[in-house]
Amino acid sequence: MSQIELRNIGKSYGDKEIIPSLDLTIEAGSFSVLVGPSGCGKSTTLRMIAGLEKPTTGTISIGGKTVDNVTPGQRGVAMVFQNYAIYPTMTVEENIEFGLRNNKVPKLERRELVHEIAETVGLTPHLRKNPDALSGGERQRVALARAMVKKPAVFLMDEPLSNLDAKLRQHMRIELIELHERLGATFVYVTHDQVEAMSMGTSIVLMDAGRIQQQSAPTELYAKPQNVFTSRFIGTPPMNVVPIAAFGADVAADAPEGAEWLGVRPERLTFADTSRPVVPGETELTVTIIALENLGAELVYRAVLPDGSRIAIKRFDEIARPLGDALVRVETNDIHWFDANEERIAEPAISGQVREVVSA
Amino acid sequence: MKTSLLRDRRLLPYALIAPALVILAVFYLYPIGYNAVLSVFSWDLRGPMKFVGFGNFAELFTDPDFGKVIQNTLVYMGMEVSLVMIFGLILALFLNRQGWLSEFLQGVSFAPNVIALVSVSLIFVWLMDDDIGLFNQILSAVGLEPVGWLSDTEVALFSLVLVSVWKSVGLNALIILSALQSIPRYLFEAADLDNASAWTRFRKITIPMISPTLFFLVLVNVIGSFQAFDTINVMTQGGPQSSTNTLIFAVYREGFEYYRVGYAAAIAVVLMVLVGLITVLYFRAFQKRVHYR
Repeated sequence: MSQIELRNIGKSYGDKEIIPSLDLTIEAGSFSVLVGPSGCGKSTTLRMIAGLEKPTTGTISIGGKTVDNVTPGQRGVAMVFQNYAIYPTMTVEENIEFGLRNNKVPKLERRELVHEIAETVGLTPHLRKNPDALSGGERQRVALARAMVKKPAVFLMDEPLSNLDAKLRQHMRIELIELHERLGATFVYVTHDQVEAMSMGTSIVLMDAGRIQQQSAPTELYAKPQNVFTSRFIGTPPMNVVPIAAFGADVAADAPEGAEWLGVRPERLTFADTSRPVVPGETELTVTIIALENLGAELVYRAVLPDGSRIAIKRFDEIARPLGDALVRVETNDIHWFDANEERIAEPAISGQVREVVSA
Repeated sequence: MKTSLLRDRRLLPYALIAPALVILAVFYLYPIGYNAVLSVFSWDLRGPMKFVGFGNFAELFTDPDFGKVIQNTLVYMGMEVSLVMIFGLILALFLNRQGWLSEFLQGVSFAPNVIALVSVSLIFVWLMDDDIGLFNQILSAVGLEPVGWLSDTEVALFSLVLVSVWKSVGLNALIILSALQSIPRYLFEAADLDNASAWTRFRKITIPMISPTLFFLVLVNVIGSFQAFDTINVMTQGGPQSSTNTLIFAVYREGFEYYRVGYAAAIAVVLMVLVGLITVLYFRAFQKRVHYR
């Protein structure tokens, strides 16, 4: 197991600065997912860890050893590429064996390892085939086997599932999670897909414009987004972020010092049960529903607030409501507050209770 | 009639390839056949044709010089093809690097290809002159013995190879270069992560990935080497002492200088069989080892 540390890493291509300055610690044995929109620098970061790109500034260490002047093949890492990068002129067996051969592993041991891995990933019947005779899923397995056979301390994966169809992708997600459990190695996984990030990662590093927006466990990332970008990146539909005045004067009055924006997850908005009065710590709003998406298990309403802000409301197992005006309730505890810089304002831990006491 | 031919589903394909087939028949098949017919006659282009059966071939294979001609042809082929391929590959690998020098050389290396081979030959005759040639002047300037580039029987064939290599190595390098540049970069990255040395990368990735191009170029160069004529005609006339006389030059000389058309046709038949044989053997030996995408 190896911890990976990036200190003050910067990367520019000519005048174009991709990453200004990055500090990142990837815990040994974690399944860390680098996620973010295209061009956020996540792949570049991964490639710098692999040694395929040289950082412009800063230093990288793997397992406590500085690797700045170590070639990719000597870093003790294995990588799975987005397009698998299988050697087309070699058979499946030669593909898997190539790294071992270069590492001067004796022939008998090599054969044993290759067959063992092939058995694990289900490639045994394909060992003698050429890669072009394989399906997309099988190629993916070759790429995985090629990485696994070297028994690296660190697995680097650059969007390895993005070329698979939806069903296979879901299947491979589970397999990768199991693989991580079994190997106990450090996984660094790059994706632009928040679902992959949330479902696979034990730690998520959310990046934008070459900066880390937030690094935390999936639940924490969802429950406590550090800024508006984070809040809107994770979750479908994204969090409703509106000016604090949009939820009415009462909510605005309750806002902590410096708050400019408030955010509520679409699934935290409920349609008012008018038989029950509004309780303290709860707010009622009038909205106009303008559209409805029926996704089977869930219904997503698009609505407009009195000030014109648009929001989404997500409900499960309900009969679809007609379009038009509706009453919506939200618990004050479910509101996230952000300041003028779109940064999260730390919860006034006890103020919620105080407020309840006051209003009671 | 015309419309019915075009409407007939079975005949339409033949109608469509007919123009190409006609050209093939008139300009390739007919001359080959006619040449084969000529090879069993004795004819001086003007008088009557006299049937001699395999007499021309009998004379050919008993001629002590003919063995030398075949040997010259094969030696020329071997040297020319291997030098063009080796230097073409080395030049291509160099051109594949980034930088102003390789970009400049990319343009330069193509230049010999746009000069007519006859002009190139004339220039080299001058350069390779025993007394006033630049080559020998340079050799004597650095204190070396002058070389009889075109007058020494041991050297003349190699001099011709040199000219041909000089002329065609650039084009070959550019074709190899385009193959090199079509190798996806991620394969080399994967190899880097697999701890492959530069030599292993070259042997296990670069060469297999450009193998179709190399296979094709070797074949084209082999066939091209059999057709080498301009350099021989301009620079040596097959001499000195037949040391640069090749099959194609013998065909020309017998047919159009000595007017022994039947005899020349017989040599042409031998040439065709030889080229065909080498091509078939070459395909047999290497085609399976070529990786086609």
